[in-house]
Amino acid sequence: MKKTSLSLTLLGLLFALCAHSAMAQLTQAQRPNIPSNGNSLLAPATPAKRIAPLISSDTSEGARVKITSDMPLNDYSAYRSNDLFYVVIPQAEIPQGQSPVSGVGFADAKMERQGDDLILSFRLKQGVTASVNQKFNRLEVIFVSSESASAAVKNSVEDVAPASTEQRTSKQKRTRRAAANHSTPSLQDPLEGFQKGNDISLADIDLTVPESPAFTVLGVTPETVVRPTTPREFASSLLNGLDQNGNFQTGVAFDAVPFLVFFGNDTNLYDYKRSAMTRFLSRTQLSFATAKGVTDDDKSTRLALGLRMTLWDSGDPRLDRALQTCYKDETDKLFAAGGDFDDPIPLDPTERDEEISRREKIFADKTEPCDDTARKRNWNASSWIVGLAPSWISETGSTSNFRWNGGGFWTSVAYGFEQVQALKDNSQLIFHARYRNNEIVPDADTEGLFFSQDSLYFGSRLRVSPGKKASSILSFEGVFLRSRRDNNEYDNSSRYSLGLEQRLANNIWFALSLGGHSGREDGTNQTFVTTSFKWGFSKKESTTEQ
Amino acid sequence: MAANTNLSANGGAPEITVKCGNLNWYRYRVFLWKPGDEKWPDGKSFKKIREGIFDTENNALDTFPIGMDAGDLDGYHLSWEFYIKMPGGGTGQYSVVVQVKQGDEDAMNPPYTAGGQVKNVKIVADSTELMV
Repeated sequence: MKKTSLSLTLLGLLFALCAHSAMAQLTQAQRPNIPSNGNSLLAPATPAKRIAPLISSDTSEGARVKITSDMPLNDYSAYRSNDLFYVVIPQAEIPQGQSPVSGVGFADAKMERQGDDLILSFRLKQGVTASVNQKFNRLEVIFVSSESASAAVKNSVEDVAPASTEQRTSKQKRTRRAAANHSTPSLQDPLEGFQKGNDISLADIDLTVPESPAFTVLGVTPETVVRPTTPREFASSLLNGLDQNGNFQTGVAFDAVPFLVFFGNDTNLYDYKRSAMTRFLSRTQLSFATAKGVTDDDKSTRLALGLRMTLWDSGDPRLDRALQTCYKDETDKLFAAGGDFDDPIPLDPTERDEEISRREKIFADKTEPCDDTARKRNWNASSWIVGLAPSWISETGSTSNFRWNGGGFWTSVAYGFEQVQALKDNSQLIFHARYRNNEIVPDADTEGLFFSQDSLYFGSRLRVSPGKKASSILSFEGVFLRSRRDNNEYDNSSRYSLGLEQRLANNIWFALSLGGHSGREDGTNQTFVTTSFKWGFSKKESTTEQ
Repeated sequence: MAANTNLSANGGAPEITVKCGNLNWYRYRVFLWKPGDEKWPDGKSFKKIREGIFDTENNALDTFPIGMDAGDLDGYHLSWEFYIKMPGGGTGQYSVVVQVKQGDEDAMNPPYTAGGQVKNVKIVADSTELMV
């Protein structure tokens, strides 16, 4: 009871952290994130920068606002919150004699002082992005409409000051040349192929919850993942993620089941079967990752925390009685008179180690068929899994100024028809929902460019193969996707299909599929009918529009 | 090798406790070995005194007697072996504890403990010399 209470307390703290960050996101959107001047009490007072009246001019791509000061402006920061773009200049005064600022692509330009800092805000019009260039004592805020985004990026790269003197913080800056080692999420993006609308393989629609949600939401596939198994390793892993200044280091990847790390030695299968709380905590996986900015010259640090919770799993091998019986039966044979393990392991330490090595290979070989049979038996077991991963970003890499940066939520419910005799071995129904917020996605049309995407995805799949021989397979699939790019308007689209696969003879199948699209951007919401013959056994179905 | 087991000839009958942790399937055996070249009636130097399984139906704790008086056990050896399986395969942790007690005292001091990572399967085995 004590160990489960402590584990619940730890989980509760984790949820409180996530809730606090979510609330912080709501409030942060309403006011600028002012970087604090941490040295104001110790350092000598510095005179405030004097800012000349802002000058706005229209360009072929949009507009440009020039900000000039009597001192270097390399300590500025900029960021976007919904449709507001902020430029923060520490220790600066409001320009005197400023006339209203307007330009193509933005409205409601405002200036205000918060503490010692000057905050400039611009309300972006739909389809407009903003970025900042800095040269010595001058800032240029560049507004570009989406149609000329790629051209604007090319031009602004040429205007850039040396990277060491510039802070790149807005989302627009992530569309610069990508780092060669940036890795995209390993989870298949449902948008890919969907919006292109062609050749999507039904069996490739991903309806799973990622194993490590933190890695997925950051879009990283870590080469090295620390998986602590003891409390000391757990603590060391956390400490190793901080540098000597207490800031998070980038490239940290951590995955563990905290309950088993701290209380695994006091847990066993007998208790696991009898305690729902023990099962829940033993199936709750925690992931944590940090990553650098998307591009080479992006100094930001991104951080994500992930939780993967299995709320129920009727195919859990730890509870599979038939599997345990199989293990017993196989070891009975090994221990029987004349079996490979009939005699005890020798007392002599050298002989003992050799004998252990020999027996482990045999033990693994003999129990492998048990595992294979169990996997086939449980492939369609009912389950419900939830994953969530909030993320944060620090533009400067300092721990003190992390702010909310979106996240992801996944859930999958599978039903295996356990109560239906004709279907329980060969049918499955899955519902899947996924929400991603502020996901950085590679632009399929332009190599090296990325954009921010919010998406809501619903998918379902029903596969029914009545009877013992599975000579017919009926399937239904439907997906609905609602997404938007760079805070533009949402697009909705969906795809659905009904299919039948009929075995005509050994290794010869006839497949028929009919379905349609709706809500596609290009207006080609077609219905389709496909037929095919397949030779040889194939577990994959595919549809190709005719 | 585990610590030697120091028994008192006038103490109570020694008992062995086997305990395992983590979510693995365990099968174990415990043997009693004759000293030197001595044999049991079946001609073997060893005799199985306990065998068991820890799974969802059997709690991972077993206590049983050695089956002989403490005073007769001088020079004997006790060995144990654990066959550990991660259900379904995969990687996890295991933990094993063997205690030999006489009354409330640990005759084998410290008790034998083993733990670490199990990748699909793991076998751990050790022994102790019984001294009176």
